[in-house]
Amino acid sequence: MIGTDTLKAYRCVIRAMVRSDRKSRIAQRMEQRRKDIAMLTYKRMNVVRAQNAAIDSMQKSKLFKELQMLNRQVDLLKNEQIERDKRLHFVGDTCILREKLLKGSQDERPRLLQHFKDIASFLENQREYDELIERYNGGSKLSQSETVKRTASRVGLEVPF
Amino acid sequence: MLRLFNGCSAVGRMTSCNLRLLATQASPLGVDHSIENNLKTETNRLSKTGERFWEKVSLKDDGSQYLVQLDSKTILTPLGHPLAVDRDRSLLAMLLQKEWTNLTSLAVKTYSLPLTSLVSRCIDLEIVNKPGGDLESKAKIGGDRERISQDLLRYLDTDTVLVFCSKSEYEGALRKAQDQVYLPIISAAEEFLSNYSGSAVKLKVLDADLHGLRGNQQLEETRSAAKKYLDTLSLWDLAVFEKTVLTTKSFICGVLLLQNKASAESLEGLKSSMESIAEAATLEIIYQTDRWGEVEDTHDVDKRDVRRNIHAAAIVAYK
Repeated sequence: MIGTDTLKAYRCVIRAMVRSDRKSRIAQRMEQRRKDIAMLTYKRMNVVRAQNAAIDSMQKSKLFKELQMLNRQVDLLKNEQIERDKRLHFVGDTCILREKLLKGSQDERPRLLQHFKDIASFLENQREYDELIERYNGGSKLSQSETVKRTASRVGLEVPF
Repeated sequence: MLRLFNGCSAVGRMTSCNLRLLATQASPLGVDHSIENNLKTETNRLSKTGERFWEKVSLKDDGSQYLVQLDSKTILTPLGHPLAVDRDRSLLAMLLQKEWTNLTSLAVKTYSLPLTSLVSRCIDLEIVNKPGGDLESKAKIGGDRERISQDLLRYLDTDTVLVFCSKSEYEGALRKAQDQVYLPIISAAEEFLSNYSGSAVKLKVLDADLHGLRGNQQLEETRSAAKKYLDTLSLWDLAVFEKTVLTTKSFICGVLLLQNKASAESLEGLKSSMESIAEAATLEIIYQTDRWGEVEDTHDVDKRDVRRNIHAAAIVAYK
């Protein structure tokens, strides 16, 4: 039997998880998209090269179609709005949470529910902390090479490749 | 050098008891004095490169424990022990997995892995303190149980909840709040510590109106009762206790947290939510910011920091 308190606590944790994951999930998806686009661009280059070398007209039209398809895929990826993806509203694996909620004994219940709320506030506080640190220390999330590049450009220099 | 993982060793050597009153001579507590090492572990690699080097994070159930794995290799703590938690701490395992999943490839910061950091310390402390444990690694993480306890006892002298401000400050509002919040906690803590002593324990408080500016020192009996309590804790709980005490600057808040999270039933007076522990630990700041305003990049960050640390300790302690 699932009470309203249980549902409330469960929802509380899930909501906190979705919120705290959001940023890094978007960042990871962006990274993935960058890789995918690079891959497709490379394939496209190969097709163009083959096209130039091809003599047979049948083969040429086949390559042309392939090229068009690759172009379409790249466009699709570029126009994809990751921030709006519905999947960001869902948490992947919740079986441990559900198992914990369903299996616990009745006497332990209030303590467990309180703990769920504590988990939610841990996630919230950690997320807010990350956000504040980033706000007050702009650029703390930059990679080392990016930091070096910016430092150099501040004094009017450019980093060689 | 990022030192991600040994974040909460309480260090500070006390040579003799009479040194305790001379604050200038005592070395500061809560400073990370653990020695950097070059063991080839995932945690060290992350703290040195600050980059994500794995694709997939998973949990492996080996029957008695959950192992946290990167690309199906178990994560090792800074001292090279597998990052594993008991099956009944499944929520902790899930949150650990989450912590590693959520890191992005961009620079990883010292504050990104609070749970891993604390759990690593728990595991490392537990293993090096086993009979026949490696003395060198014990020294590396400041893992001497006796010394950790002695350092933590120093917090009982100047415990946050034992220090009362003057009635003239904030038109008496702060003092009123302190009386309301601290007094019940103190009497419950006295009752609790009395269980570890032959006689009733009386905690010495520091009242600005009565005592002015001076140090505070607990009686020898109180200290020995508190020491006895610390000796009953498992090393896992001791590490959690240490984290809480360093965050709240209060020995008693550590007792509160463990009583509420590490054991199913706690003494009636010691029942407390994590939020009220955080409030008790920062009561004075609440009144200060109320009057003088919040300073950006200080009060707001600290507020979140205290809460995330207390909650992290609670999650690791929960059984």
